[in-house]
Amino acid sequence: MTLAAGQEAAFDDEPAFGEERDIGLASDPLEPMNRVFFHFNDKLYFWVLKPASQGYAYFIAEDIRMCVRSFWRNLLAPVRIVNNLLQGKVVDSGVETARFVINSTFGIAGLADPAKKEFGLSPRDEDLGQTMGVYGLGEGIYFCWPFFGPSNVRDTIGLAGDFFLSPVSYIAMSDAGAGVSIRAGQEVNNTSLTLGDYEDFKESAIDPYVALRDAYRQYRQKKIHDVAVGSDSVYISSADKAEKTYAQNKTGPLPPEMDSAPVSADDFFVRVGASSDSETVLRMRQTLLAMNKEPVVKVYARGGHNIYALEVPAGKKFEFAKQEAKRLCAAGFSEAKVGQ
Amino acid sequence: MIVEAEMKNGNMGYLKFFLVIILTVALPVMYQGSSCAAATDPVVFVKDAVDEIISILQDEKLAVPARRVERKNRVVTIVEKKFDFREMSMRALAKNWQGRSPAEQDRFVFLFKTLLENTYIAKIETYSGEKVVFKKAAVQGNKAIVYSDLIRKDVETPVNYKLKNHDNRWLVYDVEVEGVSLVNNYRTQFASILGKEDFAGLIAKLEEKVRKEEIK
Repeated sequence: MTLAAGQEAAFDDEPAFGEERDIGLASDPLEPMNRVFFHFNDKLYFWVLKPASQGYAYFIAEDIRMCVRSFWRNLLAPVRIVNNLLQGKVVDSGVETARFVINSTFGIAGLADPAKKEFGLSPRDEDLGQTMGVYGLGEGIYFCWPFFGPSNVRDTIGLAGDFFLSPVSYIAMSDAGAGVSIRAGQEVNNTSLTLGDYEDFKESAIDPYVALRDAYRQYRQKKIHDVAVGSDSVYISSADKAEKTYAQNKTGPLPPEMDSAPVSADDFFVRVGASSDSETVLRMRQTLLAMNKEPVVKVYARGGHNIYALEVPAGKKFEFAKQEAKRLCAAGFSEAKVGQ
Repeated sequence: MIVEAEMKNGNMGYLKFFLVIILTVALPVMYQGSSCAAATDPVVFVKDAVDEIISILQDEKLAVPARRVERKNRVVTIVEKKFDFREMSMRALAKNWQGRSPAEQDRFVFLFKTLLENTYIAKIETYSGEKVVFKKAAVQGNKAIVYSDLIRKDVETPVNYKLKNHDNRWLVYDVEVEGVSLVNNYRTQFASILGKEDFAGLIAKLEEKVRKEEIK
């Protein structure tokens, strides 16, 4: 078992705009065994899980199945709360806690999700595998476990750790049979809502084993780096890391006196202006490009129409960002303001 | 072992990648040559296309078996105008694209395009009222990323379209669903096959795959 911590070194460099992060090659020395288990899981799906789910779906209405899924998800809130905290995401941890409280009460033990629908609190999905990834632990070798599917050394350890935060675990510990039945029930319920997904996946792949391995690795990397955009559909929030990662990864030519370190997710930018008229913003953009600035246009849906905001990355230090804002004000962008 | 199973739900999102692709490959950028400057907002174009395709899918007159082929062709027509299959092929082959003869490259582009069309666009038959919500876009240089959510049975799946501007015309070169890049997923598969076989072997595999789909 090699925990390839060195692999992670590559992640210090943010990918260029619109490009994928290089996640390297999969370390899969157990491929022959993993392929056997992949095949086993494949048959398990078609021979057992799928027919069981179809039968279940025939008798149980979809609304109820969605509630059941939501109920079990709510029970796993402790995992998300703790792992958000472990990653230093205090606000996100609070959001998960609030979701748990709201959904367990108004949402009738988690059967519904009023936290999202009424309060606009969307889930902040974190687990121990991600937490270890955030702290730089490499994924290690790839596993395809029988029954449980794709994983790796890090995520397997993470799952074992998170086990102690899941209420169902305590049922399973006192009565293994009950634990297994609950798990099987959950799986059948969830599968009944996603029937056809696995078939689609298999049909689209040329080598389904490799395709699944890669999809799992890409998915987990994005989760660790919080790149996959969540469900915030609202106007600018500086907490929106995903967007920053994409939009600000290139500093563009900044004056030499400014911090030349690569721009990270916590950098300053100068908001040059915002408008609901795209033409105006694009004219401003042309001007900035002519000034050798590389502006970022962000579009936000707000109450049925779009707002376009134009930003110029401005380095790591507030002072420099302020100077940049002053320069831009002087250059005719009177609305230039420092943002973070 | 319940340990792992317990947590797996949270990790299953990557599977959605494949199902959602149906709509994503089918929901490309609408840019109908109204050749104004690069001023065109990528969000608007993606959204227009999505709206148009959803309206085709919701049209009950087109849903009858006799008109299925027509319906598929109408969607394919939109898709072909909006996707840059050559760019996708280049990215999916990566270093293996270089050194191929133009004829080999063309053959590959054709097969890859057909594969995507067959496997995904055919899935349109299974459309069942999914909604698409557009969130925002980031534009930098000649590239843009459009962020959207696909909502299906109460579950939101982030779908990001990556576009490149060619002569004032946006074209999609990659789709990312739940963080999984379509092009990168195929790149890994192609690289794995080319590690064991030569290029002709890969072409043969693609041809076989495409043929299988056609028989269905």
